[in-house]
Amino acid sequence: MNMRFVLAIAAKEFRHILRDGQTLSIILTLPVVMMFLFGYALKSEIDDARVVLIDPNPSPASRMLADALEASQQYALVCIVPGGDPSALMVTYRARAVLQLSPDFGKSIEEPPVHIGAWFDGSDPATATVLRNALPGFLRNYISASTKTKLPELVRIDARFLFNPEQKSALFFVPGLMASILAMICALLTSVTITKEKESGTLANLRISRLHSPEIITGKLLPYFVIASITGIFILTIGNLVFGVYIHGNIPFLALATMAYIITNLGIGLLISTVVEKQQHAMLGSLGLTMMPTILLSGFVFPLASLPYALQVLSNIIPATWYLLIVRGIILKATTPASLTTPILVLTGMGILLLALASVRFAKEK
Amino acid sequence: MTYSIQTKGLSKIFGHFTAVDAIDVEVHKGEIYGFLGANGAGKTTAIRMLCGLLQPSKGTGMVAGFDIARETAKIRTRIGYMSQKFALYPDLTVLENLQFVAELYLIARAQVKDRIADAAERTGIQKLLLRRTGELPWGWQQRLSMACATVHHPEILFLDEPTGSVDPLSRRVFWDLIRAEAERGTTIFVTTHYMDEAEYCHRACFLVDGKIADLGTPAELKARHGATSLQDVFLQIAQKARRS
Repeated sequence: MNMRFVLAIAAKEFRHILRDGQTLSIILTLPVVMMFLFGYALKSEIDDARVVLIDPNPSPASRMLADALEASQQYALVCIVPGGDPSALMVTYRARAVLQLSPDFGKSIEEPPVHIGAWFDGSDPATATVLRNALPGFLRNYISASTKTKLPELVRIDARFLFNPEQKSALFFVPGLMASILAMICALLTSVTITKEKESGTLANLRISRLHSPEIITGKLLPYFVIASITGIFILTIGNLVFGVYIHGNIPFLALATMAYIITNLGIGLLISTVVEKQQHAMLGSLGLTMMPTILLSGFVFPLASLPYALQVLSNIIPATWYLLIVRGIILKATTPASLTTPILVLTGMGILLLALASVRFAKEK
Repeated sequence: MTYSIQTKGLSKIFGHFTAVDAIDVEVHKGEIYGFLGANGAGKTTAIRMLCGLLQPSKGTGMVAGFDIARETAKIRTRIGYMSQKFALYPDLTVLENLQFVAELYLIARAQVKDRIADAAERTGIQKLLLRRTGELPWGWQQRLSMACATVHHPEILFLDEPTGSVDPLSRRVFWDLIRAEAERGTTIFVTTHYMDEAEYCHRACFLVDGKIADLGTPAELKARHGATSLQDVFLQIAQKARRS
């Protein structure tokens, strides 16, 4: 391999990237936009969920419950009605939940148990689940406060989250965004840049000169390796400064795993470019092969355990699945490199295999 | 007599389709050799085999003294290639395109500047070096393409329909460049379907259905077919074609 060739191609590729303002600005803004989008849109807490209260027999106690709902940050009381069909009320008042008090609510609160009917808007399951889980605690607090009696407790579960005690969503999305944005930059940009040279005929020119395929490949991929690495550092820096995500574990090991992950995705990009001839196809192919599986099947958004068995098996061949294990381990749990041997070996193996396969195909193409 | 290009029974078969059918080509050093034929006659396939971009299915060929099947790497340093698509980088400047090609041909660092200046002067683009390639009209891009293909002083220059979509005046000017290059001793192997251009060739061969249908100097070809122009010769020959 002649380094002069490699550097000539890499320098040319950097020029292309720097002159293509649009692509460059997408590369730079995408991680920022995605992080803020995830950071602020993906909060698990819910503010001001619209609630309708059905109170057939108003009493001081039910008035107090209404005030408590009003005062809470989580709920916004839309109105109090004497009765009606919960689903009709939900639609009319665009409510997330409807609470139904029994006619003897005022009396029963003195002598528990208290029965309250609750309906949640299942068309938005995420919100409904959060509200459903939060309601018993809210009511319990209200009842203890209003009756000034301590309610007998049968079971008390002292639950707490390890590794992410405040349940910060940033700790969930920063590793996931690392995996998906790096996959996108590597696979998409490389497959597009190579098919672009196929379309324009410049690749044929490179092949006709004395260059060997490894030199073309290294030269073409090197700039994207650098860009992806910088993007990775960029994401972690924003994660740290804006969203308070600290890396608890071994940083050199994280860097190593990230490099293996980047190489794997560069291999996918190269492989795609040996299969398709057009930039559009390269774009669709890399989105389909990297972004989608990374987001949906790697355990980034949907827990692996909740996937059907077939998809769980499939998730094993997705590089992001293994990369996420490493990133989450290192960032959140300070997992030691030794216990991440399997993921790093699988990831490295995938990288070598994909890059080798793609290189062979690339060399054979004429 | 040694030839710059010599093939015997050179063929390329794709499945059941014989794109190039046992052609024998002999091109002298410094000659402008025209490879004429309709679209689909097999011109590009033949040129790609000669450049070492495509392995021949049958037959042998020597280019610049090297075997086209086995010594492609050696051939590549001794030839220049320019295709109908100019294969330039539109977002790079003229100078950057030339510098990149100079790197690819491993021109010694100390010589790069002189070689680029020389190529730019030969093709008349010395005033455009800092312009972005994509902004230039086709005619000038074509000259740059020519400069790129010859910056390393190749022994043989392959031109695959180099004047594809250029206006008649630019084509004329471009052929002046080709002739100047031949006078410097470079062998020119050019494919075209513009028969008026073929008049500029020293010798031309007509390719029909992957086979060589006729070969000679433009004067010989016209005399043999009793035609006044190569265009008429082409029409006579092309009528016998089965393909297209």
